[in-house]
Amino acid sequence: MSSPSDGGHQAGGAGSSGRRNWLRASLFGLCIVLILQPIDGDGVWWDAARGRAIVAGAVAPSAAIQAGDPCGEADWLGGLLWYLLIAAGGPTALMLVRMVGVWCVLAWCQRLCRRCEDRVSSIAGTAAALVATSPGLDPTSLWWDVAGGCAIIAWHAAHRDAGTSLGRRREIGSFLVAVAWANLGPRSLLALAVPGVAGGQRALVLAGLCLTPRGPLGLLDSAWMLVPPLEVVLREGGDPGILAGHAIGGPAPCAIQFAAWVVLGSVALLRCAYSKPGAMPVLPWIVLHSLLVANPSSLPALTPFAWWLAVGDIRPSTPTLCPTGLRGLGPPAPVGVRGAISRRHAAYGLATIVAAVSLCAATGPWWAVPWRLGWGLSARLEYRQLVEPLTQCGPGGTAFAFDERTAGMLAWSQPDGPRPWLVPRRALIAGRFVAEATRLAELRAGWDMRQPALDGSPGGWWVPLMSRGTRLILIAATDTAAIRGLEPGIFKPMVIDAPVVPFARAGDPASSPAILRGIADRILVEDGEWAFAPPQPAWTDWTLDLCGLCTGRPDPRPLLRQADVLLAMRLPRAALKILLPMTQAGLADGTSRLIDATEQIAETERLTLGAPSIFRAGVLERLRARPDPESDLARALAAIHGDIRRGSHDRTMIAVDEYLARGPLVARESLARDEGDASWSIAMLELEAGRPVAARTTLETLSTDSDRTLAAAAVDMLDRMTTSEQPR
Amino acid sequence: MRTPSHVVVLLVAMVLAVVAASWLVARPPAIVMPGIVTGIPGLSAHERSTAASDSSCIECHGDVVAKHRASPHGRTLARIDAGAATTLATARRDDDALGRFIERDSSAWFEHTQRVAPLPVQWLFGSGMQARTPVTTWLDPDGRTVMLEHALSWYPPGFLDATLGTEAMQSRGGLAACGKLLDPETTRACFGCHASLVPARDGRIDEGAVVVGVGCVRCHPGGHLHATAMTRGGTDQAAGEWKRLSPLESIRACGECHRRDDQLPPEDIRPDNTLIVRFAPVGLAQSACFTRQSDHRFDCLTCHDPHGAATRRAAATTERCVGCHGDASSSRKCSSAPLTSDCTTCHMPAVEVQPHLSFTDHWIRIRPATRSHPGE
Repeated sequence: MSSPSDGGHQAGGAGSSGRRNWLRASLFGLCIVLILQPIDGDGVWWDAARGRAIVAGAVAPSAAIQAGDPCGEADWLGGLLWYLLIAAGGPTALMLVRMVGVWCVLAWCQRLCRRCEDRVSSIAGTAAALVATSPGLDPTSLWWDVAGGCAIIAWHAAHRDAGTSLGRRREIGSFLVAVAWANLGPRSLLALAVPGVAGGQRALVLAGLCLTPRGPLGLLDSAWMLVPPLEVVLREGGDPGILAGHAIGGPAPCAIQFAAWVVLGSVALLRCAYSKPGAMPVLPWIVLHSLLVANPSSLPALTPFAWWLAVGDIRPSTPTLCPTGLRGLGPPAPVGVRGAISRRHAAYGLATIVAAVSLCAATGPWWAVPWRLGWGLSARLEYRQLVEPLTQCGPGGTAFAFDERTAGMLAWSQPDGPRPWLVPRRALIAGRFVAEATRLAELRAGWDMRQPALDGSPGGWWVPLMSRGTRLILIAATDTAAIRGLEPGIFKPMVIDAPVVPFARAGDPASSPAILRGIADRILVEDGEWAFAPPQPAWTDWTLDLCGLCTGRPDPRPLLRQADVLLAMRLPRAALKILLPMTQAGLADGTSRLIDATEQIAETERLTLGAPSIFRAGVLERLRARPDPESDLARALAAIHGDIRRGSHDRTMIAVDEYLARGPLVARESLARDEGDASWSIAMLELEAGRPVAARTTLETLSTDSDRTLAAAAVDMLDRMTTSEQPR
Repeated sequence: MRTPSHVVVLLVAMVLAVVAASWLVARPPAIVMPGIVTGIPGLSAHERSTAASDSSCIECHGDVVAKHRASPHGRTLARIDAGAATTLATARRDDDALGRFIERDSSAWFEHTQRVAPLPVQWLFGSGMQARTPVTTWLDPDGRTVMLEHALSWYPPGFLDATLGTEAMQSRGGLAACGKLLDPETTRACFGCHASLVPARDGRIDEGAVVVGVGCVRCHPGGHLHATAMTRGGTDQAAGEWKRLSPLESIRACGECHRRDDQLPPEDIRPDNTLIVRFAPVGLAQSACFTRQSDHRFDCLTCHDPHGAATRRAAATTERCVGCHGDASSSRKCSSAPLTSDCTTCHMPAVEVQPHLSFTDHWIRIRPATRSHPGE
């Protein structure tokens, strides 16, 4: 890293060298950690499928692989490179993309601030830029937006530094960068946002942005990506319910990314305020933040511009670099250094913070940093479990898959199968985002048939989906509301343990075998001889959990997702089979999910036995559950919890403590078999331990109990187990 | 150097903007029901309720509204009151095995030996033309509305007997012995077919704001906009005109509550499946009268006026049949019986699915002329 070239705060001596080394080491470590993050972008398979369509000859690849898309697309080439990489080296070859991206961002930052005297600010800005752009460096369309922003800024900066006047070479370069960006990335309109560009050159950039199959309409598409139509928000009376939960054109940023953005934004403000009294980068600063609020998924694409305002050497050698008048500025003063924090403390503090962020990113997931050291593709992108059931569906029809990950898995794995309907990005461009998002909201609410919406539009997802020949509904495993909403309907899950749950219509002959297998799996995990043990850290041909291999602890996120799916499918015992061992092993805090599962069981007991069992009530007491106070369960529990606190059920509570610490098999030994309520709990614990034969024996004894309610419940449970055991 | 105040202001604004962005990202997806949950600009909760009721229609369509209010569609859902409680409590039944209804403090309750405490009954589903089924609602642990469809229903002229589909409840324990438990999504769907407005958020139904009965807007969506436009002197034509629908669209529109043919697995749609006789649009969609219609339009409205009760007069029904099949030279003329006989006896017989409950089989086809059993 170059030394400051002019006056100001000169660093010197061994201390300064030592601080620089610490800073470099911490930054280098951060880069390594960010490279070694599994590919997790939602659009990976979608963009790869688009690239494959290009190779097959399509000019509008999205329209070629999905149904209902009436528009061409500007960024038609965005997936080509990713497809070629996969074809050449398999999915793990995509890690090269990430590696190149991280190093390029690092080199870009360091190159452009090489004259910055304040190393602390430049390192802080570089680290913040790396963190903020990291998820955008996965091989998706967002990668091109990050690259395009870096390229256009670097091009302008390079020519400014060389003292080149507004010449032909600079204009042509800008034009070419704009053309490339427009045909590769969806947010190419940002190319116009570089500060200090003259009007004529902007016109040339604008012309370059129009050189796509969409022509000038590509500008509108890009604008929608940056600022989704506000009428979507206004239509809902100010409640941004539609946009919330839909990450359009990129992943939803995590807390650490927002923190990095705050760093950049703060440095930009403070820096420019100190540089010249009264001078503020008001307009570009406000525009950037407005774009962030409009579509938070654009954060990685906006980061180069935010960095440029914060740390880049924006001293103009030519006028009009910044329209707000930052002309002829001297070197920026260090942030907050004067009289407050010494340079030494700032340097070591920064190195510590960067190291801490690196450690979190390597050993996650944490609340603010959901990253984890690994290689290859993340478990969320594993589609191979879906291949067999989806292949059985055969060709024809369409699929509802309103996000790029699920639609991409279908389009990539089943090029001849049912075609996904509009993904969010395409729906936005086609002006159908509200309609499709509403369909998803209706799926989540179980609102299938048409009921009058008072704005004149009909509600209900059945008619629209059936009118376009929907044979499949693909729901991400994290969308438990949709899974729960589909439960009572005619669409049934074909697979219950994949990152995406495919639902097919019962009665569709092609899908019936897979549906039946799904039903058998449900019975097995809930009431059958299925027991769970925490898996070994993932090591497959696609995925390598480096953090897990080093620590011996697997990534808990797929397990928690699976538990959520089982809870949504109303399979609480199956969920407990996963959650309890996980919690006991300290892999994750599954308390809230344990409460949900136990509440489901307690509610079922309340409905069948007249009251929750004392055992389950005791579990909820220990877990400090707080069901809805207006619910009948809450009222029923209140009475039992009062007794527990008075010491009326000490023996049962011993069993509860054993259950939470050591599992169901140990807990059942502490319960008295001669008490009806306890016997029922024993039977349920035996089911939870994957021992249906033992549970059956206990239930058969209960079926002759003098308590008619208990006996009837036992008979009912035996009938259910018998039915599920019958061959299909 | 003292930080300029405007820097501080912009810093604060920036942090707020980032917080706003993170809130947009982090909040869980809202369940949005356009116009019902979040409302539409300019409509208060009261106005929304008014729009869903027929009060905005009565000014211009008084006769139809009055007729409709008395029709089965208009009476298909009711809150339990003293009269209904008495009716339930005094209805006859053959045995007490399924429990009994009692009246207490002008409310209805259900007692069962499998359950310690009686259950409150809040709703009656059904117009009473065929049956009325009591329903109990409560909140599940997540605060969502669930319901129990009681195993005992009221049948005219005053019997209590098993609700269709709940015959196996006797062997079950606890609350399950009293009826069929329905999850929140199904609960909302049940209310949705028996009401004109079902305000619900996050699965919790605001039962006090439910607009009972299948009102005007239920079949004529956007009717309140039409009323508003007409009040202002506009020329907006009627919303949701059914004659603009094709025959298939028309019967499927009815089928959104009475069951659509595309809602059932294909293997369930067969002549010997008596379970589908209660789904009139399903049977009608299979009928040759429907599938081969040409010069005469044939759909549910051919025989039924949804603003009134379904006619039980054979002569009225036969008149419709004769409209297509009455030409002596037509190949569609009935060869077995004179045209003055009741066509439905043979071609649309009533099928008893359980004691006290029978449905007209709308799968119009040629079969032996028996009143109770459809031909093979």
